[in-house]
Amino acid sequence: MLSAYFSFSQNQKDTIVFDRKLEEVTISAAKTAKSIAKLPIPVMIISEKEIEEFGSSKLFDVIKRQTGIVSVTTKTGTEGLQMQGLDASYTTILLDGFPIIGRSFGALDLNRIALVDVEKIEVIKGASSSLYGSNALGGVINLVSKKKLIDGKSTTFSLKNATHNTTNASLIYQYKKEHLQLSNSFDYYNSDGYDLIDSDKLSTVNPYSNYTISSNLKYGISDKILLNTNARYYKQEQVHTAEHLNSLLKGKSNIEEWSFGSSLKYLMSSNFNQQIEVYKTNYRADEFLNTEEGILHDNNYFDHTLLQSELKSYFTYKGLNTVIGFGMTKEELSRRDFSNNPKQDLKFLYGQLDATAFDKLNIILGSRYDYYTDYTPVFSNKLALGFPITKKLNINSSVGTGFKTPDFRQKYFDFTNSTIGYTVLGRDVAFDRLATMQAEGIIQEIVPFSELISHLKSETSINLNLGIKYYPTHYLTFDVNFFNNKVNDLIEWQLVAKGVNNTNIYSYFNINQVETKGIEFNSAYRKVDNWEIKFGYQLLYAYDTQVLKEIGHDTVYYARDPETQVSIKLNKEDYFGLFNRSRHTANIKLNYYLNDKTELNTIFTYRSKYALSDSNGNNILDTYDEFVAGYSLCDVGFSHQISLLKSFQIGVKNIFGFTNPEYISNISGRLYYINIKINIKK
Amino acid sequence: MRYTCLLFLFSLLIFTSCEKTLNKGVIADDVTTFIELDASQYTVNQLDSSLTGKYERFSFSEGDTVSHDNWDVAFKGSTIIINGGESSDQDQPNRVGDAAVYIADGVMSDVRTVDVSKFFQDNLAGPAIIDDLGISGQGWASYDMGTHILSPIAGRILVFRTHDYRYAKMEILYYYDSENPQPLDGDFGGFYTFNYVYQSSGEINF
Repeated sequence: MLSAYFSFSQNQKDTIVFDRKLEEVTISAAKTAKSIAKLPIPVMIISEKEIEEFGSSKLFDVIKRQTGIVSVTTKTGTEGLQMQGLDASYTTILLDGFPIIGRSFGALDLNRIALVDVEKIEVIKGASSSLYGSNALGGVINLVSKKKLIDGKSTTFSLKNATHNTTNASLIYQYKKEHLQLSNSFDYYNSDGYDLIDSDKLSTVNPYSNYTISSNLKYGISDKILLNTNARYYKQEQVHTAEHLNSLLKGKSNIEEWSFGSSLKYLMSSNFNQQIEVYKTNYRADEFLNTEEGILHDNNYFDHTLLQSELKSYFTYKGLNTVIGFGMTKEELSRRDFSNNPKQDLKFLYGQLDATAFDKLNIILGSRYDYYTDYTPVFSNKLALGFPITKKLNINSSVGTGFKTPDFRQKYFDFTNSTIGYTVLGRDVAFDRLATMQAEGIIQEIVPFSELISHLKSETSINLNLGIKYYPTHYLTFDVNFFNNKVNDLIEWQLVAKGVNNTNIYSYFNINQVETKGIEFNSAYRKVDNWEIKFGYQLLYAYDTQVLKEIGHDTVYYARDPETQVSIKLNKEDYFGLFNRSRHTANIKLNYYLNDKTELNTIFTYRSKYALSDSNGNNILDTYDEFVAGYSLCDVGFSHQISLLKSFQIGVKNIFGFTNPEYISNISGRLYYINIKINIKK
Repeated sequence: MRYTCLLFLFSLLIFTSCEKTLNKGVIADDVTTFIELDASQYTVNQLDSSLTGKYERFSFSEGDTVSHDNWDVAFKGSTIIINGGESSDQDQPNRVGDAAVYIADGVMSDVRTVDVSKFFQDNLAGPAIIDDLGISGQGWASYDMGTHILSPIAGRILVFRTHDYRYAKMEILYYYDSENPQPLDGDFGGFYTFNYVYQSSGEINF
């Protein structure tokens, strides 16, 4: 009976790489097993082989090469992912279905996540709140660890060396005997960092080292009951520096994270089973800075805990698959510059139907109800239809809603920057703080304070996808997906009051409405056993709905003619759209198999121009603003299987040595790597 | 005037000589460009960011900087005052006139008529043209906290009543004497390049 649980990945074992794409099974998109080719939702699977290409060992490095996923660096230096043109804060990241926490300004640092023991990465694009609740507006990324091991003991050791004195060592120990399966892994990463700007005292990335320990245990208690336990511990230490009044401040920045998840699956009959899950995770970041004399200048901390429990039931009856689940989540945060230690409780209930009608038409219908202590309850829905026109041609369409609750920062922040002179107040603390200041007569009202009494609303979205899959032969595939996302009630900070000496006081409001739309196109062609070429492209339009409506009509925006400096009025055509969005992103990937042991990989990724902020003072991004120039990167990798159990990789990332010190801090220039992997079986 | 940046100057010369061919908004024949009026003789007081130094006076009728009392507008760093109203700091020159000013939204050619109801004069609290380094967004310039560069806000036209009841409109184009100013290296600006139209007849139409 154990095999019923493991069957998800079984049929992939010996198929050739390319075929996998057709056979690949996905679970997160539907929370039930289903072939990707038949799934009427835009999903992308990154296979284990693809994960290991180019010597990548962290999630960020793998995911940024994928079509339609753009790695972005914000002005504050936070890295994140953009899917369908939506911000990094709108993507939920899961590890075997459990959420990873610890976000900085909404973005999760994906360099934190080591890809040891990961069998595949599933990427679901478009609003998925109907299954995953808050934050899943843009999509979900699920990392799936190895499901089925081979009997016996197996130890894999790998060692990587790369530019910037980077060392990455990992050890995986796996054991399987009868109903017990154990997988333990250790990953160590150390890097000197790098510096793109010589003229200052600071480094672009300071030296850091981290390690991850993870353990997964699966145990068949009986024929019908399966226990699955995941534990993970991560620790990072990094040198922390800052410049203050021409002197260098030095300190440390530490991150510590752990998670523990356990599930019991009860297989009642061939068409009914139930699963109970408990998950707890904690993320803690600490940093401090000392002056040159060794006196504490500044310190900061962030401590976030999440506890989740869930009960799921699966029914299968004559091609009808149903999932029903309910559970609760408790979150708690303790952080400097917060008025209190906020807590948030959530109870949720969801259900999804997956059925076939009229022989061919596949229907997925899902709904989720989220009940928060502080907000109006949210219903999220999804309807997806898949229609196979012929065996080779499939048309899919889906419509879904998404939401994101205001985060703790937007509610409880109480931060004053005395150097530049401004204050940011979370919405839940703003009114009381402002009223006190007003009574003291030290501020002047800009926005009526009464507007701050009500709570912030959740951001909500509607997502539409229309996809066509055309697979003319076993060796050629075309996938095109048109997408559209409308996000309402976007939360942004806005000036509310002015203090003495012209200091500004900001708070958060639901103000904007944005729309992103575009086309994603993917195609792959494989010449049997010889080579394989993949092409991906995304066209994206992303803009503020209000600006687009008003520009040139109700509101006039001005810019300056770059030649004469004379003011000019902007037209609709001059509006470029949202910040940090590129109109075009593309990639071409070539895998060349010299023989069945040796392989050469090349990938080009391209990102067209974008802008990080408004440079001409009209608050919108127009064609007269300063843009970050478009760029392309090229990675080359060579891998060889020395023997059945030994292999090595060498390669160069960013072979042309592209850098843009002014705007792009996360591209360090050319990187060489060598990677050796040894497997010992008993 | 300083000619430290020939390229910028050159582009301005092209502009003044062929302004009629510009497609973005037709500019009247009588637009004059004044290049780099030097109002950089000031120091910044670290305590309250206020400026101390010399006001450079300008007369629309003479089309040049002046040192007599019949000036219309004067500049000291980012501060702009007029020859009307009351003084708000000790550096300010004598006011003998009744000048007034307001800021209109638009491009230069949009301002065809003076709206006399909007006029405002300098007072004890400060100049009529707000000088808060762009914090309020109500003045003539915006300030970039990262680069510390002060830029005139596009689409802001300063409309003046001169000291002797004539009218003028002005668009400030640039505040520095180099193309890539580095305020962190002491390049604080104070060099006004602006376009203006002077209506010498006393009519309120341009």
